[in-house]
Amino acid sequence: MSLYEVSHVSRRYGRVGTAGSVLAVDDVSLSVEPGQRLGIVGESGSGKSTLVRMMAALDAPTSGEIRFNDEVVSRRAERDLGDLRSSVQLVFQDPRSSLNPRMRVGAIVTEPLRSRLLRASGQVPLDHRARLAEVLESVDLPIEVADRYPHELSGGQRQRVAIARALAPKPQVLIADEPVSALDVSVRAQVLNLVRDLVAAHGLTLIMVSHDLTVVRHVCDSVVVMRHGRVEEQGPSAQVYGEPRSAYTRELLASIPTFRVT
Amino acid sequence: MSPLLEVTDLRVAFGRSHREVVHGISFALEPGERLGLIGESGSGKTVTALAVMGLLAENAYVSGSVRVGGRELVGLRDRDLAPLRGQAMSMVFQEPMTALDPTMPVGRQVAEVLLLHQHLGHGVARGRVIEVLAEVGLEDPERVADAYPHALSGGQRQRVVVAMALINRPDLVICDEPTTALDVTVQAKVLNLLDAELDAVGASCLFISHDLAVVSQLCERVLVMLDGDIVEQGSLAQIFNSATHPYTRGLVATARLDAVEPGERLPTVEDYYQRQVRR
Repeated sequence: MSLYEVSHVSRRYGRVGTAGSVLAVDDVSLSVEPGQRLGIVGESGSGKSTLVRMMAALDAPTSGEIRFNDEVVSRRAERDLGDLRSSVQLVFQDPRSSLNPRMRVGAIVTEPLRSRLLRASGQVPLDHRARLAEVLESVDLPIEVADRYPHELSGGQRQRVAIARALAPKPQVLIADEPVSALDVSVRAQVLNLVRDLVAAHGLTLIMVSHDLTVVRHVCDSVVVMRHGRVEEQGPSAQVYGEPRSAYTRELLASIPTFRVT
Repeated sequence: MSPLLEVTDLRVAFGRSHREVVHGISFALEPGERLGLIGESGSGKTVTALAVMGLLAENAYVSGSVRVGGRELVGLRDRDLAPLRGQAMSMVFQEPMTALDPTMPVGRQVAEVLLLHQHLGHGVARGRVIEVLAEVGLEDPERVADAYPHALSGGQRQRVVVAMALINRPDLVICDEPTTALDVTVQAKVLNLLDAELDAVGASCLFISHDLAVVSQLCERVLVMLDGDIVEQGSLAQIFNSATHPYTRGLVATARLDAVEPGERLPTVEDYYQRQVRR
């Protein structure tokens, strides 16, 4: 059984026919198996973030259906989403805006554990201090950062905090939306290594969105290429990168800056 | 030939405590040359660029020497510096959305650069602006000129910023992470554009980036900056094949994602260079 089953999902912003109405996601179908590491790539405006937001039930499709663990999660009341909320966690692009600047790191990381919705699902660790120490260690941060505020940390450290918060409720699925594009190239490698190790260690299913194909190739075993809200190509990484079928994928691959030494 | 830009023992410190962030760096840029400046966030790349342009805030203390075309800029009053900015030297910023004024059509913003330095009628200026917008590869330049920044895509906005930087055919263009905020495909197009336009104008370029792969698209020579010092400089081939500083070797390794087998652990700078613990 697939973990995620996305069938014929579309999302339109604005009313049909009005100016500014955009079909952000257009009839997308895909499935995610447990343990899969799926990369979703495309340019700005290709609908990749809208798609994962719907998969995380942060947004609802205008048509189509999303099933998680064989239950329909699209267009469901928040109180019935307990299973999904505790099993699916997100990491966003810019940790400066995804971490509350007025909370200390310790409070940020344990916040999901205090959610009534998540506690109700019964799978969430109850000893917050122990869990905090555990997840900070797993993202290679010293326990002392628990007393710090996000602004006192570097970009790479902040993104580690965001990852620690995502791991705290022991999720099955980690959705990362451009987790390294706000980071320096040198910090990018550290964070990617960390994501790779954590996914392996905890047996997580990973869904990673990026405009950077090299990043996705490193971490993911399968890839969906999106363009104008539609799936342009999907398949195992080796195939999409090795023998891309679509001209657009080839264009994306050719755009990656590689060393030019003369 | 004397260098176009000559920076000697440049120091920049901030605030009441005079905390120094650039520690006496020196480098030179020949006419027509393109020089890359790489390093991580916080290494002092942007502060160096702003010091050259004389754009640092008032709490900055600059010492040393910055000469452009033989003329000393450090210590120059703002009113003597202003005529040079946008004329002899110009800058392409990282984030076009903040570099452009959101309340003004982009055509007028490009024209402003022109009118500040040349006495032209507005009609003539507009014609020239449309020309330049077309040169930087914007389709339908008339429409773009009348559009506000928010109505343009990221790539289009950055083309407008490039047009502003090049319209007066400056001798020196400083590009500060000009493609970091852009998608890969757009990045490739903007880099090609910069390459062609710098050649067309014959400008020298100081190109700042944290990504060595991006720098290698445009520059022949590279400076490596670490915590306010230039720790290495050399041709791209030298930096790439036989870097002497471990930090440089680390940067080269991290920029080469394509050289690592998928799924393998990626090299990090720390594999090569352990920074002294600060704070």
